[in-house]
Amino acid sequence: MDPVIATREVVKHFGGETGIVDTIFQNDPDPVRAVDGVSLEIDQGEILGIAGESGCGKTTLGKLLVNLHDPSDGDVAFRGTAFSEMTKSDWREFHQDVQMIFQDPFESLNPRFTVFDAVAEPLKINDIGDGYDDRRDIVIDSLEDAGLEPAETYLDQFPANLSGGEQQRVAIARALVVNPDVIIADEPVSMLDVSIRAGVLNLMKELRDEYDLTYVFISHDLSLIRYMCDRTAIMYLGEIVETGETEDVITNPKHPYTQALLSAVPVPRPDAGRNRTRIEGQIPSSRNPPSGCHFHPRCPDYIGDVCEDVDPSMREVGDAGHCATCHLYESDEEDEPVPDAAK
Amino acid sequence: MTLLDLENLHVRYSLDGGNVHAVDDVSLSIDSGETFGLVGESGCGKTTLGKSIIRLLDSNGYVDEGTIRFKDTDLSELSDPEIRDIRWAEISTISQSAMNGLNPVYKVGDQITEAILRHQDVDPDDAHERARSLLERVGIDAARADDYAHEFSGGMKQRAVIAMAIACEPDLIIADEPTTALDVIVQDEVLHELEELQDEMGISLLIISHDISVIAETCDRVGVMYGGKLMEVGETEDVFENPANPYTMGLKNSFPDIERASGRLVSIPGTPPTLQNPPAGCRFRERCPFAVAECADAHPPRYDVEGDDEHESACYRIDRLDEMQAEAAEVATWTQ
Repeated sequence: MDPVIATREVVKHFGGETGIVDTIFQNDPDPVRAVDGVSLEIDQGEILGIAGESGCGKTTLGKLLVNLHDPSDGDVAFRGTAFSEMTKSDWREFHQDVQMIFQDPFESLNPRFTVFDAVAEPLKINDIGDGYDDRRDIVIDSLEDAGLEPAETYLDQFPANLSGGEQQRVAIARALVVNPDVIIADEPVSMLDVSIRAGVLNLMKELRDEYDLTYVFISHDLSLIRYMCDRTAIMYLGEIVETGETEDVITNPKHPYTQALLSAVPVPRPDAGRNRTRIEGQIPSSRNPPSGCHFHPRCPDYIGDVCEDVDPSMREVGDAGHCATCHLYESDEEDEPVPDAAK
Repeated sequence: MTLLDLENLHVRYSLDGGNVHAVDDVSLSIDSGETFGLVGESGCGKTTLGKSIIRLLDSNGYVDEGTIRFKDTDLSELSDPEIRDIRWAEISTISQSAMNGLNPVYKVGDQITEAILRHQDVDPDDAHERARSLLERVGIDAARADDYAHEFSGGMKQRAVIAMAIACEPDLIIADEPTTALDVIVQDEVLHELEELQDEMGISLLIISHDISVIAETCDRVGVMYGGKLMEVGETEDVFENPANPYTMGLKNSFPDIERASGRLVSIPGTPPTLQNPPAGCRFRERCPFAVAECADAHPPRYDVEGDDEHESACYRIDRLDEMQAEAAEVATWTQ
């Protein structure tokens, strides 16, 4: 079966065009390489986590997946058909099947729309439902799915009257109302308080089980990634550096960057003595990423010129499609580089 | 030795439609050289508490009752100029938006120099030299003293703010969400830096955060706030390993742990109370699975937790702690 969404070496660069000022001053601006060659496949019914620090390109990748950005190079495919080859009716199907949940529910809900207006809007756009009464029933079902009960009492509320958790549930109801297959969720709980967050996460898991939904869960918080995701991809400077089953990636990280990232995550227990892998320096600019492996200037396991000269391909480093881009694992001859990343 | 002692502190904000009781009868003390963590969700009053100590509240906020004893002085009785002398020199702050608090048109080194000159009688050249060595101390190349804030990364800005906070060798630093805007790797570095400085200089730290893992890793003692009240206070290990307040138990259940493939995260039902007209009785009563009729009478006083030193919890049902802890571990307790 085709993956629901697949990317092949997708690239998104921002800027880099030369305007008149640049011509006069002979500037040659480098583009920001937000996403720099990412291949991944998302299967029906799975939760794929995309994790990394700010500026690593995870949000841009999410937007590429829902066609909110045009790729600069490479391609994204929906059910085996590349975006560039999709027909108008393919797009109609796509816009209904793929929905997005954003970080800040208050920003993503129109303050002048009632809950009913907000959730019914995708129905109007996709021409679903027959008249007000029918749509009202669909909206109520969707609000109940999102855990807003009794749903009738929410219909005429404005977002400002709802708590953050309720607002995010409205955003989830709005995504659910058109019966999507895939939901791209970009930091869906990072604006919510701890005591509310777990409820939204559990709701998302329950909905996945009930409707066989597929999620792409984008987050900087690896504890949440471990809780939510079946598979995880770790990004650094626009590239995926490690991917695999979440448990493998979190408990047995192979890429030195993943190891450093994980060792920096604080744990909510005072007795936990963490082994810290400290790394030096800061994330380089994505206008001008380092040669070879982008992580080599900060890497505690730097092994020599190869790190500076050769861009490491994605290779298998463990079980069940656990892959990483690191020269540490090249010397082992059994580890043939695999051409397709994130298999 | 007690450095800071808050007694029955009440802080209010006056609004058109009444007032908000943001800090409601909070008493706590911080010893010299200690790291005290204040943890709670947004709107629980933790930031207000921190600001009230050195009178940095917004103009409609005021300390209504209570004493803020710092060493031998009640800070709430001092005049504004007297408070200004204490700020930075004896109590400094690292605020949530500190990274944006650096002045964009001054060189970073000059800003630190200015803080030193404002509070200490030293030669400007010496002060400048000290600013450079402070930057070195927090891991920034002294040559960067002549850079502007926009030339610094987020982590460097926060380090520069820390350098400024320790410039006059204060006794207490109030750090409000010092690492919330930072990525994990940088957060780890900055927290480590703070710990080192504290060991070295014997500074007391009040760390205010919503992130219980940051608090668990850095603090000696911890206070848990909810709805303007201090619900539980004690040594960090006691509070996290032997939580004695239902709110703390719920908070622990809802927080993911990277090192444990935990079962289900459980959220606390309901939402925090508004502080404009807080409900009578225990603040947590409406969300608490263990609430009984007595809880509606008045907010409970803090009771000692048996077996632990200086571990207190504001809960009427503390005598049945073992039962509550056992039940709190069950998902069904919170989902009914």
